[in-house]
Amino acid sequence: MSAREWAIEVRPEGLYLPAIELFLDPALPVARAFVSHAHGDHASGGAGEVFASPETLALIAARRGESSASTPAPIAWDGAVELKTPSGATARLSLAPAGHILGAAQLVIDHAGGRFVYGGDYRSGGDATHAIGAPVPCDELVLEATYGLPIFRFPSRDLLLTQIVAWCGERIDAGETPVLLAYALGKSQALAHACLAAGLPVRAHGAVRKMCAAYEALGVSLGVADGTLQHYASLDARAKKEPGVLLTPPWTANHPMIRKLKSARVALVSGHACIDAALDQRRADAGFALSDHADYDDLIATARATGARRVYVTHGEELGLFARLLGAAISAEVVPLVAAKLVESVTVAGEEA
Amino acid sequence: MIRLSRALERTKSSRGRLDKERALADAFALIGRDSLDEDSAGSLRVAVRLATGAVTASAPIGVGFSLMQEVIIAETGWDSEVVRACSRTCGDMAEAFGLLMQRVRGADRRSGVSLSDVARTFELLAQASSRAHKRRHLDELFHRATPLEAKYLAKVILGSLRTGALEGVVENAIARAFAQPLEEVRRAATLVTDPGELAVLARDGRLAEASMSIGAPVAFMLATPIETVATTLSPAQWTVEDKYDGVRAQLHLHDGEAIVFARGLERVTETFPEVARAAAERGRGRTFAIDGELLAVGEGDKPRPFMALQQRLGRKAPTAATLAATPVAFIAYDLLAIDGKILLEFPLADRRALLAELTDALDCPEIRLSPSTPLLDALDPLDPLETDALSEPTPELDVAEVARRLDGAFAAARGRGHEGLVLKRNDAPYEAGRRGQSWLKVKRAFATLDVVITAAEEGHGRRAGVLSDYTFAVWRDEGDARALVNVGKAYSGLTDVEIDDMTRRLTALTLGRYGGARLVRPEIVLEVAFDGLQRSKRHKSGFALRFPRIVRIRTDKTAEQADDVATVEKLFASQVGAGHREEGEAKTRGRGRRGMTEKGETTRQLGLFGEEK
Repeated sequence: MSAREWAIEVRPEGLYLPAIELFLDPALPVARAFVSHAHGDHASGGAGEVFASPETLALIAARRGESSASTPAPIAWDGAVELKTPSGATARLSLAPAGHILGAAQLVIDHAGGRFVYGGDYRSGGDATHAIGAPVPCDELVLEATYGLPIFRFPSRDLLLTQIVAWCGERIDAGETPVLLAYALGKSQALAHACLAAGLPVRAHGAVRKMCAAYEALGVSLGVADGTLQHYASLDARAKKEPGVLLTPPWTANHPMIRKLKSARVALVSGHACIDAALDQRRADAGFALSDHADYDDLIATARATGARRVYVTHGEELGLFARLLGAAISAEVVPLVAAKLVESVTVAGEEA
Repeated sequence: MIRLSRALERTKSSRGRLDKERALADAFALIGRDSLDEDSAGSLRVAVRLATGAVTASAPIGVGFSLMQEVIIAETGWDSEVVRACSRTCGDMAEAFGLLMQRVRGADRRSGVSLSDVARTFELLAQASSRAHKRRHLDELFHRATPLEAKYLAKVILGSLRTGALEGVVENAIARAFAQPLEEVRRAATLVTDPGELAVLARDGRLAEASMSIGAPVAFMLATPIETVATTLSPAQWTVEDKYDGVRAQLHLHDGEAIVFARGLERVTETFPEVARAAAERGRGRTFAIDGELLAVGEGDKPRPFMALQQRLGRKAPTAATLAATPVAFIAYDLLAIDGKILLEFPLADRRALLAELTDALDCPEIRLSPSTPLLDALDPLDPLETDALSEPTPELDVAEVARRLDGAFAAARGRGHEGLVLKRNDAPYEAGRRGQSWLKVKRAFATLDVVITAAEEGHGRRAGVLSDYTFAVWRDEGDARALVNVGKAYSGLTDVEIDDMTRRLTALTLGRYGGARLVRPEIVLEVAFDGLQRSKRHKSGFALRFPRIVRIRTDKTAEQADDVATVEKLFASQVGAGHREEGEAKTRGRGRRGMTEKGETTRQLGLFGEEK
């Protein structure tokens, strides 16, 4: 298998592996794709045939409703799929947990020339709501570097969850309403789980609750079925004033629902929360750098642990710089892949997906 | 410094004003009442000054972004590209410093620097003449600082401390910390403008002793802007002066030393040596404090526009050539103290009389008395059409009549090359720091234009991550087609909600990115107000607007309906005709430089962090 055949291309639709005619997390509709996890920016394209973990497919269906035109092609965590290359050889596709959120997977491709791993959105470690992400030894790695700057150094997840729960408890004791701004899929479920485990009442924005229900259907108990996790908008005025944590997506930060709530104390829960401007922008009272992505040190350690001789890096505002820093830290060739985006999206600090 | 840094970090994450005040008050009380600190008054003084973003009581320390970047590189071990990228991401170099410092081995276990260390270092920095010396003092300071201290020290040094520690908050915090009535703190604050000194007075229960001292600036009395008179005012009680297009300043002479304070109460003596020299030489043996305006003057003592004065701003020790090319005069319009006597409580009429005596005695072109006319006189002669109708001005002119005549007086002031008028009550005391009803300024936007947004950039700090800076254009005929040519850029005027909305719309309209700017499809029309026009090579239209600000988003207009260059030219011709602007080209100002800018406020010019060379 020649090296050329296993080249990776940046196409307008997204990253592309010509050897097996497979797009990786494409932004536009394509014939065949691997979707690493269910966040909208990765599962947005739709495809004729979609390879993904069973959980990811279930979460995508829950997000979109059942109207998806794609043909799901689940890969079991202990299974594999074989694809033919143009030269007639076989490539074996399997999955490894990527941390990040429930169902998030790294795509492991074993071919005659070695092993290629597409990490998707990745974080080392796990929590009660998703599997543990860990480096997979490989020859070539695609690494997502959203937080590829040394200012991004996150405290341990356990410590952060403890701090967040403690902060919510203090706010409630002070007669205030703790509002956690967190991405509706993944982050919110981790927070809901931690708060519920600590016995704090939790109310959720509709989008958050919908995703909690989807997690619950996949076996992660989050109090939706038994009514412990309440839908905020369905509560009457008096119930809204009862003590409890409000879980809601970052985009609602300046929404009247929150701004009118006099007792609200708002915390942004995001890797960007370590930056003051991100808190200012959301007019947040506090910030917790709990992220579903790898921080700078995790990125370097992960790339090193895989032993990859070539690392492609994607995402991140300062990709070229990160490629240089990573190249200096490990003995590998590092190639930045700058996305040829057709649809520009604004990067809003604190809205990580 | 640790206690102060923690308090500042708390003010950052407490949105409510009350929370900010509490956080600062707690820190001030702890620092000011620390029995283990031999010089707790000194520490308190420094802490409060730092909290307001002031570096020292007087002299600037002359440390800019490039020197600070060197220090960060040395202290953290990351190279300049990393430091710049991190600063860009944070929107603040100081914050990036604090975050990078967290990775420095052992930095979080440092015992930190004391407030007196900080004060001493800042004094040394102010005195240090060479960059190498400054660098050494900075290295010594930051090598002992904790990450959080580094962040806030760097913020103070770079002028980016905007944790909401605004003066009002600090005054409230002082009152709260030492259980003093807020009214007394506020009153004292207008006379003792050093917040550190104010805090010590409050701590010691000596606020009543606060008084103005010659040689230390008092807060400027401010005029309330009006478009025209809306309520009845008795013309006999008022005088009227031209509103100058210069830099508000105080000129003090004390112990033979003349000091010029600009609008932000910072010392700018060296920037205006001819004024200081005249005061010291002509006023030998006397003491005084005059309030007035620094103005560029041209041939025949004619006032020159603000643009001319800008050649002198932000420059220490101007060259002889600059002094000759752009002579400046101090136009005196109020007297705060003379020969040891404080005049703040005297009525304006008395202060003016004493001021006239003083300027007569000084008798020099560098310090002139601002002409002032009783409002009754000003109303008539300036409006010749009215002279027949009213042979005798009566004190009981109705509002509409006064307003109508004021229009004439306003036009006349514009014709003399001034910005507008100021009305002052004869019997009012000098209300330091107040914007009350005793001084009224009649100022009107020069004009407005409907323009089309052609490019947008992200802002900084609070506005990082949203598109808040807009480049805009007007139409120009090019043969049988029309093209958009840029005419300016505006940074303000919209609410956060409007900016969020604009960010969404402009993102959808983005055609391409050039560095930090997005070129957008020209669809959004803004109404932009401004105070004047000048010729400029910076923009393709050949013109630039002075103080452009967004009045509103013209959702009712399409891009095709925006104004054209011909309209701009007509407006320009009208102001040149009135002698209000000089024909000729204004020099393009540098970006990303710190210094005194428009109206003497010390601000950092908008420019991307990391652009500093």
